[in-house]
Amino acid sequence: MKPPEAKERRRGGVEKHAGPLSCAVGLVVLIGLYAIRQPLILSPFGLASLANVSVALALAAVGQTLVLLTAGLDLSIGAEITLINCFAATTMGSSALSVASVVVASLVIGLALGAFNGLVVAYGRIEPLIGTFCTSFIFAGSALIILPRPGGSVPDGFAAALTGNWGPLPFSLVLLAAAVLLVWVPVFGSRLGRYITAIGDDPESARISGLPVRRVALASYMLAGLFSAIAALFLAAETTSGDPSIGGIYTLNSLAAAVLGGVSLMGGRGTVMGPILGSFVLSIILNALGVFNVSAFWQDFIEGLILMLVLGLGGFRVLRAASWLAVLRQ
Amino acid sequence: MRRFVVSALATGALLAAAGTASADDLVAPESLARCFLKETPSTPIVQHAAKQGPYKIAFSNSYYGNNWRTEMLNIASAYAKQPQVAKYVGKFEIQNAGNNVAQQVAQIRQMILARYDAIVVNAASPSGLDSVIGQAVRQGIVVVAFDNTVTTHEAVNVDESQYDMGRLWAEFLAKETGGKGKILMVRGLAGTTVDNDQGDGAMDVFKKYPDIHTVQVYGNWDVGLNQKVAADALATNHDLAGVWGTEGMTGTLQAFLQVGAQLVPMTSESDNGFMMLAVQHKMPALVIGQSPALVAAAMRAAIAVLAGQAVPRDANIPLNPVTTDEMKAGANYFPDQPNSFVTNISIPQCAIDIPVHDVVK
Repeated sequence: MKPPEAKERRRGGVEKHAGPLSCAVGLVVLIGLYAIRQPLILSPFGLASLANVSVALALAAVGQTLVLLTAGLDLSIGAEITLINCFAATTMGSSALSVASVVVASLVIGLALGAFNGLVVAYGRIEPLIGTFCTSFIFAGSALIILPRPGGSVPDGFAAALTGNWGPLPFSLVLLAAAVLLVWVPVFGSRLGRYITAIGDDPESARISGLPVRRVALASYMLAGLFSAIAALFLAAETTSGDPSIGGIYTLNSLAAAVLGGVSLMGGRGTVMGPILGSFVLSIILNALGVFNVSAFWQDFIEGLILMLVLGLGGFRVLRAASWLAVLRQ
Repeated sequence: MRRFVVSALATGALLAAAGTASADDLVAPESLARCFLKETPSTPIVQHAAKQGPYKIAFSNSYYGNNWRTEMLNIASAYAKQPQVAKYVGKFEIQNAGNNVAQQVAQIRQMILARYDAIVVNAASPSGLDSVIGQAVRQGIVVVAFDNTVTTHEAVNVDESQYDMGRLWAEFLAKETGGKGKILMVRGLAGTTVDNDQGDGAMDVFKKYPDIHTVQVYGNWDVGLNQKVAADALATNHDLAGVWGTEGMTGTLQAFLQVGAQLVPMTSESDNGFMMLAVQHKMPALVIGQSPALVAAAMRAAIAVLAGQAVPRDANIPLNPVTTDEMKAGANYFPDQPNSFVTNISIPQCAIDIPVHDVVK
């Protein structure tokens, strides 16, 4: 007979992969349905379209997941994306040197914006919901100061390098894979990753065990900022310009994609494939509504319904806890 | 006298002939020239080799949450079905992306895949679609943007001049007031291109009249806010000679009626509520507005370019000013529709005539 905690762990393990697995199945079904209606979607150009529409959200959702894992929340992701998108589009220029330096500067700004969030939430002891909501206005306001109306420009070479495709392989997927391999994998291969999960699982015992709770929370917001910066650079490439309203939709959708991919809103549980697959499912559904001639007036309704169901599902999982006391303690 | 009558008759006959011709043929050059005016004298012309019809046309819309956009969507569907248009259009499809630039990019890429002949766009971002529009044009697709136009020169832009709107309103008030007095300007949303253009048009007129003084407030194109800022302005200004206003003027007029202030000449965009009140109180008014039928003009431009005709790359659609004595119930304002109904649903110069029952569904 196995000890009960092993059983508990195995159940946790299954649950951990239920989200990504159901998303993967959903994604295959979706693309299949899409292809019946529009077979050319399986052409290299079509596949690149599907990847491109999903990758910005996938990057934002991976960033959101890092924060969710620590039982935090980042409502400034959309505004971070907007601000960095405007910065990149107004400063990029056209020489290889200026492009490279703006890319590096954008990533640094992403880390800095995340650090600002982390300081407000972890050191300022402001609830993440309120803290990041407030910083989102600071970031969005700064974006409007840099670029009051859409404009700026991005060299064609930079745009093609991120949004083109090599045969059936879209470059946007390469970017996403690189971001995961160069950021997520090393973080979760190190102590920081284990701390992030531990703190999200039970902040109180993590603190008692002597884990640097505040520094880990700070790091998670910084990493979210870094992923926002990559998403912002990708959007700049996709639209070859900057737009002070471009990021707004990514805040709520990144949450929905993460929850759809099985990430717990209560912290401590989630994978990297979950939010990525969740983002693809969500983006392709929104895209397909148009292709399937769903009336304009129903599209918003359906988008809202999906968001509500997915976010509600996260809450439902909490209510299924062993005892109501556990719910009240959350 | 006799000769005058004859020539008037001849002119009438000519006009009638021109009228039928334009109704019959969407792509006749002289009819197109009446509809699509060059934005500036140096605006280049777009003309490609004619393609064999009927054409597959897609409409990529962005936001759709207000009256204007709803009427626009209904007008687009209705116009595509009108017989003179339907003979050119094999397939017409509308897709909405919301204010989501990435989704609109994906949507247009999907339209490229589906091999549409033309794509009509109301853009979520003036510059964000430039790259994908370039891709479409390189595939031989005609792209026409309207209302929220785009910065790329690869698309045809169709719009109405907001500067001219502001200018015509101001000229009307200058005439009505005899060129003197205090004019209340209830402007739109500060800092936007549309508000700047409308305001510039007005000030270029007003500054020619040294005896006209302006008081400027911002109503954000909103009826409720118009009413509030107008009420505030009325409290401190008892000697207004006219009101220069844009969208949301129903609110300003209501503020005047509420305090029983003397009604003065006013201008407005095409708000049904404003027009009903103006007629009811016999108040001198001039109404001009951005027409939701612009979408039909954009569709017509796309058909014309596909048929090998010349269209200005940046085209202005003629404005249709309406004064109080020209307002006719059921023709250019609609007492059985809500106050918020946008009344200018037809553009006669473009032979675009949409019955009101097609606009409200």
